[in-house]
Amino acid sequence: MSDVAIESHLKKAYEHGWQTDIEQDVFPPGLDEEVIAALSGRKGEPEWLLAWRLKAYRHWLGMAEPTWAKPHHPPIDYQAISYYAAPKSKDADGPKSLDDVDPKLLETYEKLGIPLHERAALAGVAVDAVFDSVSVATTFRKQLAEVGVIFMSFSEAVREHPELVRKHLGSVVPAFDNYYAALNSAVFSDGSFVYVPKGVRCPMELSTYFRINSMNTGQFERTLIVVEDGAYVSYLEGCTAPMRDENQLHAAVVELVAEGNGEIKYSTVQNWYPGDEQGKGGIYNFVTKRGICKGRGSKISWTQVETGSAITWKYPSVILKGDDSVGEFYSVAVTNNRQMADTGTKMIHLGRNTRSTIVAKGISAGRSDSAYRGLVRINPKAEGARNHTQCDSLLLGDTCGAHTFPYIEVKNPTATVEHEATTSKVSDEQIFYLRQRGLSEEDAVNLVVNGFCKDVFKQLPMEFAVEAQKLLAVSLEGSVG
Amino acid sequence: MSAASSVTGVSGWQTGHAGWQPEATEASWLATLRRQALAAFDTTGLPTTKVEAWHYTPLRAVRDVAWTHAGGVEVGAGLTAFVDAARLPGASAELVFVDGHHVADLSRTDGLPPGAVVSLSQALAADGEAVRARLATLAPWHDAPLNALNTAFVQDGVRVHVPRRVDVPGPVHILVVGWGRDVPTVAHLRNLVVADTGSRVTVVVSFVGRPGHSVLHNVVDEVGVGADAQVTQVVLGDSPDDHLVVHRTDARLDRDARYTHQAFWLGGGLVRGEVHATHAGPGAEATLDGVFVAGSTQHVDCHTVIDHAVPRCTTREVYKGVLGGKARGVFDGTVIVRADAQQTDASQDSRNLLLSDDADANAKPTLEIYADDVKCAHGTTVGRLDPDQLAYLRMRGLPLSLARRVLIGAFVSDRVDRIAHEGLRARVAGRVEAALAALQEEA
Repeated sequence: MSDVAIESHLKKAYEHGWQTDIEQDVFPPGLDEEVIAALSGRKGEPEWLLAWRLKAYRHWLGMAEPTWAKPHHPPIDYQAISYYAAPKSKDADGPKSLDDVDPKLLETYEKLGIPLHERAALAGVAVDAVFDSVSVATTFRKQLAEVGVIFMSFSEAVREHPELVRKHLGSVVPAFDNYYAALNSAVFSDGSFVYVPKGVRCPMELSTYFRINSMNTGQFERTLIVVEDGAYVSYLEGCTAPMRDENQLHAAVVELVAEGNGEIKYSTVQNWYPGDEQGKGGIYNFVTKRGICKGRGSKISWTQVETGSAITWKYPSVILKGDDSVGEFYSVAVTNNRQMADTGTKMIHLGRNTRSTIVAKGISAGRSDSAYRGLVRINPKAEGARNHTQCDSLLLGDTCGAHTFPYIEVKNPTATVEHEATTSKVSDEQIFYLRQRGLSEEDAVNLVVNGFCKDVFKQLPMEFAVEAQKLLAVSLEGSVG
Repeated sequence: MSAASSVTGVSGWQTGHAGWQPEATEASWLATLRRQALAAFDTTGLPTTKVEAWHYTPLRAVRDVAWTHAGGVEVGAGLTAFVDAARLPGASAELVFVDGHHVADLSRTDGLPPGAVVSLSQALAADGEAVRARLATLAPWHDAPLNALNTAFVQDGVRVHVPRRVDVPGPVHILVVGWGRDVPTVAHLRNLVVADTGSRVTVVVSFVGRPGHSVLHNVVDEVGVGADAQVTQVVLGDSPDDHLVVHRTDARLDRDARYTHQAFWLGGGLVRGEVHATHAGPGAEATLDGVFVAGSTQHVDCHTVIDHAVPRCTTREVYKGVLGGKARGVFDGTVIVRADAQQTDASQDSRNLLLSDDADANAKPTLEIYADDVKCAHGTTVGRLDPDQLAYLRMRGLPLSLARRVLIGAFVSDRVDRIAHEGLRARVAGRVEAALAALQEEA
């Protein structure tokens, strides 16, 4: 490929880099117990939740920021972040329907390609859109309610279903789990809550779109999904942020609970602003995602396509507690320019005949670094447990890095654990072959990269698979010469 | 080199090892080196499991003991007979160390030209500057606390120097004996191997010892493999279970060098075998084979770091573990491919067999890659004996115990078969078989 083509593609700008000018209710930067109390008060939270937040905050103060990850970043000034930013609503009680939502906000989502109205109706996708710190609108709520599925913003859930929230909040990711989870527990602003009752197969795919809009704000959303016995839900999550020179923090927590034979399919397309070519700006994406397969035969499947963020630090995990439960992790992580991604999964096998599959594909280009870090632990009682791990890296260019840090711990002799990893580049032969058949060099690279990611993309719901392929093209096209 | 005997706990290590004095005649550069290394150790102390490289290996058994540097040993009939039994048939030289002391009466170097293989203290006395040019040049003691201790307290060791194009016919056998005293005994040995351009040599390091005594071996090997040279290093860990063994090798491979490291860890309550190899010249090849057989409460940690600093180098790494009883096995291997190291071809393979409910296997095969035109792969498996294979053998009339023995034997034998020297291969095969038999009995 010619240098000019490479340049032009590498310079391809971040498409979602605009910001929306709407009136916002923003807290001044800073974090102390008063800020947390004010945040809690603003959301009308019950006493127990404020106490929970404060406990997490006090613990967080005594914790040290983790330094073991491959990516390193300048110290984050947690006092320079605003912990609450909400679009001001004309109606103090918040939007009742889409008509009540600020049209500018709806425009934002329009630009993002999620017209809540039409697309939701056409695609049958119910969207909960989170804008900075508050959940803006949840579509299709009525249809979902008819089958008993609860899908609403976290704050609403705290008001309307406090018993469910209280029962499950922190049950998978305890408030003190790690530095960023503790911070999230103290200051989480909003997020999504999903509850699927016994035996219900959620009739549509649920979707959340996260967007950081304001300057100097952090986004600390919290998602909690509970499926009861024999229930099923597929949940999609997407993220973007405007272009800014300074780094912004995103420290989310996602907790999944699957009871007996319940199944959760959680798909993420993460496209936070990755910073510019020089590595200026971009989102620090420090996320704790964990699910527990509580009941027998339950299943949790994580699929993620990570193309954005300056730094990603994320390990969606599954605790396989119920016998015969299944955990899956499918991941494509793409880094370009100066991005750094340290991502992977943990599969903790506790129950008998538990099975897990890990397929992780890392693609590095530019001066970026991408690392797979994963743990497979077979505990002594996990009779007959199985794991298969495949993690492959593709390097585009000779200035990037690709790393693999798998931890395999087996404490039961009946377990079968296999781990394979390879690292390679897009070979000249592959490109030559495709060029002979009339493909442009970019298309050829795209085809090879898409083929490399196929095992993961085929796990994604269709709309997401299309978006993921597009994102991949934007992130990478032309980065092979 | 050292001689003085004195009691020193770890607290002593950390406060400057007050009771220990090197010989008064020691060169000032060496005294300075010791002081610096000890100061480096004092800043870190012994690593805890919070240090990533020691994640799976707690050093309680080292930390909680007041270790003594033993004085020279009386060579009695018992020791002589013990050493004779551990001798390697066909070795071209054999140097015996008992609790850190070179025992000249039990050693021989007659099969080689003078000066090719000498004890480190002899080398220091003969040409201190030549030792100075090599000692602690390959094995860094910063951020490597046990190596820092070794550098600070090194008692003796072997210097092997193979001149240009010389092919040493039989292996050089370094026999490390933990004889033990009434008090827990520590021995710090340092072996320097220098193979000049186009030369060939095999160095065998054997750990043996007398059970019923507490011994800690802390041995560091520095191996310089010159251009086109071939160095094969075989480590046979056959200590009794009350001995602790920390063995570290730092190898540097020049252009087109061949370095083979074959480790067989069969005994020792706590074993840490580290191999650090740097590809410093294009076209070099490193082959690392490892077998560990551990039962009862043994803990074996194989730790390797292969650094591809230049293009066109190859690494082949296969470690196989057989674990029974309550043993813990660890394979922690890292391959680093630096930005310039294009056309690197590296593979890491860790295979583990669990024979009991309480044994556990831990593997961490790490790749850190900064170049794009590379072929790197790693694989790990953990499991028990294949029930189908067992059934197949039993259908053919083999009793279960024999069927198991056949399968376990086959699992490790391909590594043993790769030992080139016949006498050595027979010795290792015998010891591996004995270790597997002991494991079966335990099960």
